[in-house]
Amino acid sequence: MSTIPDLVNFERVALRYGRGPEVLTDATLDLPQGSFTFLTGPSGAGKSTLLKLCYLSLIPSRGLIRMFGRDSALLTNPERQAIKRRVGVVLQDFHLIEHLSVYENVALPLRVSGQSRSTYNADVVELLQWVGLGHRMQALPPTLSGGEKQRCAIARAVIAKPDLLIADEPTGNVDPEIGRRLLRLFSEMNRMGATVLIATHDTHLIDELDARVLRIEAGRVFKGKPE
Amino acid sequence: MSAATATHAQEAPLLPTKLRNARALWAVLIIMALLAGCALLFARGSMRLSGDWQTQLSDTLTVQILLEDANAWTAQTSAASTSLTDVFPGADVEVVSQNNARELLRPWLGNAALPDNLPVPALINVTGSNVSATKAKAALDAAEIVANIDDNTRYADQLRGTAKRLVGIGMGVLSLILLAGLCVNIFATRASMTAQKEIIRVLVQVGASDKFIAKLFIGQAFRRGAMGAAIGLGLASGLWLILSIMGDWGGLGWTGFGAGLTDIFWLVGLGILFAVICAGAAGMTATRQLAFERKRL
Repeated sequence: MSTIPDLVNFERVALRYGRGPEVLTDATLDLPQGSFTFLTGPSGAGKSTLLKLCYLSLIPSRGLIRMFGRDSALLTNPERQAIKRRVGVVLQDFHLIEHLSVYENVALPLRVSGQSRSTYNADVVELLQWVGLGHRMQALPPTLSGGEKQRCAIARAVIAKPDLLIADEPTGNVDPEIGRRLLRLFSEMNRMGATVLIATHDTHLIDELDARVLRIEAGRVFKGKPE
Repeated sequence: MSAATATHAQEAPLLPTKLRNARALWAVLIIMALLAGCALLFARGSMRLSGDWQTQLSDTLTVQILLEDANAWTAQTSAASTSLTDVFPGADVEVVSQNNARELLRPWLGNAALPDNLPVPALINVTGSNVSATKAKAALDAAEIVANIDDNTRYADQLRGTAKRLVGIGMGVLSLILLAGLCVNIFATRASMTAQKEIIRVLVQVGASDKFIAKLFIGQAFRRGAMGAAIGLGLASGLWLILSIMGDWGGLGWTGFGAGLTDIFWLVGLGILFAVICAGAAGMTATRQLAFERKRL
């Protein structure tokens, strides 16, 4: 029997900020390659913290995190950057660069990886049209609505066709139709081979897909939907 | 916007070009470049002036004929003039009149009337490009004339020493200004990195290396330094031009087109150095700051 390797693997991971209490306690989870996983749980349960650990923005206080088969604590700088390029992230507060246009924001991962504009231009334009921002390519983020910012952030996360796509409440600011469309985009990415991890409160969104569900309660990770 | 227009549009700079509160930094950079330019022009002027003076002195000899009898003045100066003209054919041999020679003694002997028979040394100035104290001494010895020859060596040495000190002061001030420029840019880069923390966070998130991010700050600082240098050094050369035209700077200013052009080349070199120092400071600071932030994580 062949086993699918885990893209992300947490073993008894804990995290505390400074000298505060543990936000995450003995979290053990795995994200098999090509899986689609929802992470749910109440506000303040530690969803965003867990995601930050997944995209190497935080270092755990204890425990072991393996990313793409490598112990994250042993990664060198170039290795860490190479892994980050394989991870697309959509954050709750979007993190768009305000003086860059929507087009430039979305093209950023490709530009950082050294690609020239002529090689990625068609892909960026097509994706922006797909997420409904075709008419807003030259707009600056401060002029966008919350939903448009979110779609821009999602487009930036998926433009480089990442192996792992992490999204924190990706449909929180969009209307149901756009939400479903974005979910279809995530599904499409998943069908193309990307591993997807989405943190959400939205139980309707979870019901839309037959996907794995992890729930986080009081800093501990459990399998399955909340009761 | 169509795909074609997006292709033709230029890539926007990843760091904002118009930063709030950057005017003060611009002013500091321009003033520093202006001061650096003035220090360099002062040092260059001192070198030029010293060279001119030394050339003038090396072309001049003063022959002092020691007379035992005041009445022998005419015969001795005539014989010495002939000998010196023979040995330096192209040189200008000028006998200082007896009265003028006596006048030269006034500072030492006071205003009292000098006795007519006082054997005041006869003086002969020799000016020419090929004059030599050794040859002059040999010619006078052959004519049996007792004389001291002053080829201004001591005076030239003093001038050379003074000029070296002036150049040293100019270069020292220039070095201090460049050092201050380095420090200002270190501080400015730290402030800029703090102001653009969010952009750096996004770049790190999309996989940008420290080198990539540092290059952005290097480019920004280089452009800032080059612009500041262009304005500041432009002002310095304008100021020097006005002072050269208006003031009596006796060779310290630009005495001709050649001197001005050479100094402009030096200023261009200084401008490049200034921009490189700004860029170097930014690169060093950004790399260290990024490494520090990563360790703190």
